Amino acid sequence: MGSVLIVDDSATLRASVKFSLSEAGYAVEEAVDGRDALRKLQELQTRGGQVSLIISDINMPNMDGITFIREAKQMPSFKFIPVLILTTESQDSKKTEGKGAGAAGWLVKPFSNDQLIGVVKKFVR
Amino acid sequence: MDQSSLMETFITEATELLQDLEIDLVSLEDSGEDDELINRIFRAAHTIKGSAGVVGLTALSDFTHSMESVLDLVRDHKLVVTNDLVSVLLRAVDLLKEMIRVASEGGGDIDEREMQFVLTMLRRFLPAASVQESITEKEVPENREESKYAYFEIELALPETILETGTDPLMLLRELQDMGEIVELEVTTQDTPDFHSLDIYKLYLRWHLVIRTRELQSKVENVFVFVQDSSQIAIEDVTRFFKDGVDLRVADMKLGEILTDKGLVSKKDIEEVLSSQQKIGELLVQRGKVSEHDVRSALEKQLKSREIKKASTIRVDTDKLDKLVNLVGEMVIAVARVNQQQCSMLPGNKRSAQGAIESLERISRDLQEQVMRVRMVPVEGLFSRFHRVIRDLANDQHKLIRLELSGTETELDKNVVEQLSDPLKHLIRNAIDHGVELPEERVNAGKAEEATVKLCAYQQEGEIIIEIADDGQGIDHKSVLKKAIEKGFIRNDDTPNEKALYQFLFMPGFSTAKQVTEVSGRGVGLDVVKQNIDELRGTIEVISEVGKGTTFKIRLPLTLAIIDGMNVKVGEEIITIPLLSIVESIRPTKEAVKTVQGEGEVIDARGEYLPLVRLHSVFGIETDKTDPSEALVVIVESGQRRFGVLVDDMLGQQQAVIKSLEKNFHQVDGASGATILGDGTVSLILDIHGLEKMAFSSSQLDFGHRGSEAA
Amino acid sequence: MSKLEQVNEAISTATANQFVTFTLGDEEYGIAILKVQEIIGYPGFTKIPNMPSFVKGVINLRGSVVPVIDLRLKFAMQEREYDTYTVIAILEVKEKVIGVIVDAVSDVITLKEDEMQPTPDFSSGVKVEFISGMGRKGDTLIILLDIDRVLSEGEIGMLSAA
Repeated sequence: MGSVLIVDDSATLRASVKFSLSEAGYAVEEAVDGRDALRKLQELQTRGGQVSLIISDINMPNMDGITFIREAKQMPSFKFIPVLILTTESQDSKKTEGKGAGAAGWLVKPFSNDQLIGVVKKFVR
Repeated sequence: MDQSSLMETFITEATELLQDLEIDLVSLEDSGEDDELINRIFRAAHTIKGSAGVVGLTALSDFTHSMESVLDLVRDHKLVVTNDLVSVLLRAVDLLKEMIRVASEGGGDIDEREMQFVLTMLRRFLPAASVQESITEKEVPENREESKYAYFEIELALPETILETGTDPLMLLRELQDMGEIVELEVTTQDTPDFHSLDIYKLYLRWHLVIRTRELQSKVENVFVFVQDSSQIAIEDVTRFFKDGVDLRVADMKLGEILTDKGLVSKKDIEEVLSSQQKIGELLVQRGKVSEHDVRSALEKQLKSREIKKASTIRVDTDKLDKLVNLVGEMVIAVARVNQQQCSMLPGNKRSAQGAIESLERISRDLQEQVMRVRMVPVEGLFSRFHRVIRDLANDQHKLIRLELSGTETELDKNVVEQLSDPLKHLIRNAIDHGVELPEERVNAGKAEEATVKLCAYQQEGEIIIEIADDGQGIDHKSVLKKAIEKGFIRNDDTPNEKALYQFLFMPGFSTAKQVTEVSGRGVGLDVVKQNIDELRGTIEVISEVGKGTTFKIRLPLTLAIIDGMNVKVGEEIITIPLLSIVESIRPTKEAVKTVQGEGEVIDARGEYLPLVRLHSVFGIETDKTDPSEALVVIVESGQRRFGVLVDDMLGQQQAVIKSLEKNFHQVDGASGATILGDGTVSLILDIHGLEKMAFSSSQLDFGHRGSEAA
Repeated sequence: MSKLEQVNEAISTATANQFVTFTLGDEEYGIAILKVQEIIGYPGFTKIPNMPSFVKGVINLRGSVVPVIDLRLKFAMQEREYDTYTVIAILEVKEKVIGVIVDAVSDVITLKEDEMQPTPDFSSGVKVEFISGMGRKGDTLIILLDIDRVLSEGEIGMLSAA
């Protein structure tokens, strides 16, 4: 099965996503912000690896989710990795902004385990 | 990984975030509209809210939500930062801390009234309309008999650029397939250009399909939730036209009509799509070819420089680090042992081995230094916590105080930093309670209205110095002296010097506080501070000038795991004395040692008579070198005084990895731990404070008695 | 030393009702094998100041500092010079590792139910609280020690308070 990169500054959220996805059989990589995520992607690439899906928070220190998606989408090797953004209900504008930057979809916080797996399944088989 | 470790992760994270949040809130009060700061504060609250939701702490999450709403207004410049606002937010932080504490202990009570109060206070800042939390309507599922199938006709025209988002149209179709049976499927390939102008990153296909499913229409729509607004997707319930999976409409239709009906073959549509495709293609050629390369190289450059700039971090279990530090220490010792052993080698082998050993020694020392540095963290985090302490205390006592930090980049062992928190907090409270005067008093004394408390750290040789300085009223010698006499520490006619006088401040039960404030009334005195610092193998001293202020100066070793030791011999035993406590060593003449009242011994060390402690008799070790003129006296300094320690001989310096005696045994009087020597035997590390207590306390005889019994 | 190796091998495959037996003077003692980590030779030790005489000092056991007590002295028996037969049984008592000096290790034995009996009443002077029972192998009486009690934390704790 594919691997998923979770980008979020919340260690709890990362741990929870990792837990759920690992249970479902996915390999999970973690990054704490956009910058870290770009670094992680490149690091994986140098090892010959690639993630099948990125789940990224929007509001993060150092590099926010939107900037991260924009930058990733400019890099030929990462351009085609689908990115899901994590939003809260109050951030409807963020969905649009995220899509504009190249996100493939979103996940509304708080989400259930089933929702998470359901959405991930849309992108990774 | 399970639920409980998820909770642990949350508690660690939230605790850290709250700590930063607190510091940031206090500085927000000073700096006002600092967008970056406000954003950081908002983000912290936002993360706590989200994370609490993840671990199911709904109450915590809801409470933080109220905080976040207020912070959102601040972020949008709709709410001005005031002292009042910060106070409420800080109270909210306190409550959150409490809630997290309760969560970490797995149960307990939250002060419900305080919570309601803070919530009310927070809501005061919100515009009336948003106070009523909107209740999201729960989706009412449509009813459908489970056994019944529905047919949905789906037109799927996805945007040409969809592949760039990483969405695979095939996934969408597969997802549909999982929901039921696709009974009709047509792919329109009309828009596909000829091979030469084909752009492999574009999608030229469109689909028409009919699915037979038991699912609701909303569930089917949900498949396309991420693509619907940028695509032309039509989903229609066509169940009425179908029977046993067959479209009854088709019977009377021509193919052309069906296609036109579905809007797929409209010439106008095709033209439109084609022309827009050309435009995008041109754009890609024009911009993409030129700028994509440029952008890419620029981006790579940027990434590289960012990576160098940003020291990437990784969380490591401190247990692992401790083990590593220990191992490296052992290695350094093992290398020293190899070095010793080479003396017994044949001369020819010796020369060739020497170079190798020397480089091994150098590498292992470098390695040791690096490993030790891993444990080091800057004191910044520790220092910044005190902004809040000072703010609250200053407010309570109506004093004006500014906290100045310097040397915050100075690094200390992580354990030391943690253990310093309490003593430093106490010293700061002490400075505010007893040092800093009220604003009017300060003005009358010709000082600035606002007092300054300075917290500063720096490295000096092998030690880290931390100073807590206030510009307050200083320590009144007379009242300290009076109190010392009152408490019976000294006699009426004693006139201790300044340094000795200040040491009384650290005695248990000593307090010159004129009034008991909330903080100093906690029954904790400077003696506990001293004890804490002692435990860190540090020292503390006081420098004070009446009217000018007081400085507490703490000296700490760089690390707790390894010390530089001097190995000394007493009888058959080898004992390690920490190098930092050694002043010098002397081989006294017979005349240099005098007895007092026939029992106590002193030694003349460069004109000063120092008490002499015979290590062999305090420790009960048999030796024939009982005559000081045949042995060696090591002059050591504890926080309180200097004294001479009589040992048989000095063997040399060695780095000592400190091993715990308590792990398998218990604390040993006079030993702060043990270490393993090059030959594998254990050597006790002398505890100078402990030795001092043993040798100079009234129970000395008792110790001596038991000592001889053990020997 | 081959006996030592055999015993250590037996320890590594320990089961309940097995005891490591050793001699103190003419008496034969047994300690539940599950308490025994290993048996080592006498390595010499570092003295600890101001300890009761039965606490001989500490040794270095693979980087850990481990205290060593002499059972003879603990039981107020005649002190004996250490020789090449003297061994130290390394025991784990309440998460602490402690070394116990005995004259010599005899064997590893398995006692059946009918070979064990509770501690009988003794005339005064015998420290029955340290004895968990008596075992019999042929004509040999084996005194089974309740080592947790002999080396209980309270005991060790009392030493530091004494």
